[in-house]
Amino acid sequence: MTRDTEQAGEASIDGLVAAIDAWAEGVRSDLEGIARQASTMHEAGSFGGRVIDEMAVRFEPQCLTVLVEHAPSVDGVGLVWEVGVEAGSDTGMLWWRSESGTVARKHHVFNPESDSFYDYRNSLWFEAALAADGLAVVGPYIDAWGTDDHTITASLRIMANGACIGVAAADMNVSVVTATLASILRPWPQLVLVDNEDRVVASNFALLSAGLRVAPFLERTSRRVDSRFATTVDGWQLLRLV
Amino acid sequence: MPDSLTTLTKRVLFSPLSDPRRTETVVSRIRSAITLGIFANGEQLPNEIELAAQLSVSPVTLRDALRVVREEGLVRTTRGRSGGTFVIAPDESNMRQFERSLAELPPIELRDLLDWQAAILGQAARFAAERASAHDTASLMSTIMLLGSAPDAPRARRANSRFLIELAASSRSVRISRTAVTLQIETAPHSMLVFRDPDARTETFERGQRVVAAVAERDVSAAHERTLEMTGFVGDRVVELHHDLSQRMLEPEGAVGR
Repeated sequence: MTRDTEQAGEASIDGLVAAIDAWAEGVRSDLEGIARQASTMHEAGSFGGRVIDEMAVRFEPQCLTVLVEHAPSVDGVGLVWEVGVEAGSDTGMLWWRSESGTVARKHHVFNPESDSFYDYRNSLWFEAALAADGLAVVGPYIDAWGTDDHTITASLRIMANGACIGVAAADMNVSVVTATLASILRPWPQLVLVDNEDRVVASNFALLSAGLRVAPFLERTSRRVDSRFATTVDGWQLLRLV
Repeated sequence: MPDSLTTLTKRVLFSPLSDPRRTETVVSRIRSAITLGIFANGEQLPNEIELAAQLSVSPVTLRDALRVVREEGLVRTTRGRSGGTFVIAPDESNMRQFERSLAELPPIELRDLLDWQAAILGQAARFAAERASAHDTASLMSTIMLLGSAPDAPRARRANSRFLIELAASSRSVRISRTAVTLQIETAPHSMLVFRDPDARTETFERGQRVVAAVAERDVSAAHERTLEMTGFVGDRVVELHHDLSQRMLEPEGAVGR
């Protein structure tokens, strides 16, 4: 490769990173909107389990708008609140889901004595949001106690007065999202979009479907990772395979 | 409409019935959900209209079925704005019912069920070893610890089921995960009987820990082998129990559950 083509390649990868960021911007701005509403309610003293009915009324129009406007890309959205968690005092979840054209509030089971217990505080998307500086996107994974299906979840910390008071999150439709990202990648057939464990988010390699780790594929095909490029989504990287 | 049947276990358990006219079939489904602890003590059942629609039965059939389980002491119903049908935790009498149903299972069907489990979960473990994330592995470890500390059969059964479903979910295959849920619903009454023995809980827990270690080390063959050892250990105890119960049923004064 000549120096010119190398530079051209890097320039176009900048364009690719920008295209991925443009895709992420939609969900990022939705979650920032939910986070702003949460901060406002927290400052007004109306936030947490004791005012859950009021919170449901306030967040429902916003969450339903996200589901309707971003159908079919987003099929679940909501928030977790965490207030005074050190004392284990107040944490809970409000969630709305779109399924087969019907949009409705989803009631998870939060009783650890039930088979259906949804332990969101130990879920990947929740932990990723707390650890990330900005938008985190996890998956595809199987949300066995939530959606029971392949899921990609975008999540964002909710801050108030410098402290974390919860997480806003959205479940993305895996088929739609991975197809969209794969189409963005199509002009770069050697590039694969992966998460922080080198697990495929989108690729145009037939044998590298979303959710698989890259390492077994490299072993089977004698390929290697030639370069890595950062993106603006926390944990996401582009790998060039040769 | 409140959406309280979205978790997979409940969805499988309350899938539409092939013979929606029989009240007894509906009773059997609801009884299974409660006696297995799929619903926690005090948990509210979905409202009658939602549950009838889910099972594809008429509201009248469902109401008849709920009356039967209420008379059996498995649910209580309250009226008013916050009223509904609430689960009452099962007790020792449910174990005798599980024993009877296990004893009535033909040996060849029991073996078939265990073979199906080995095929599904063995392959799930192979995929999990190749595909699991660090988070999946941590989650498997904390769930197996719940089995290690379970003080009774229902909690051990729940931890065991959750562990095997999480293992299947770590395979990143929705179909395998769903099959694992169906398997757990079929095998849970049997494993509940086995987990009455604290030693069986400990032995299963130790085998489960070895499964997690193999998944964490990405050792595909060991994950497969150790999962078969874990499920096979419980399976062998079920087969022995089945044999004992069947023998007792044959004895003139030894009918099971009397």
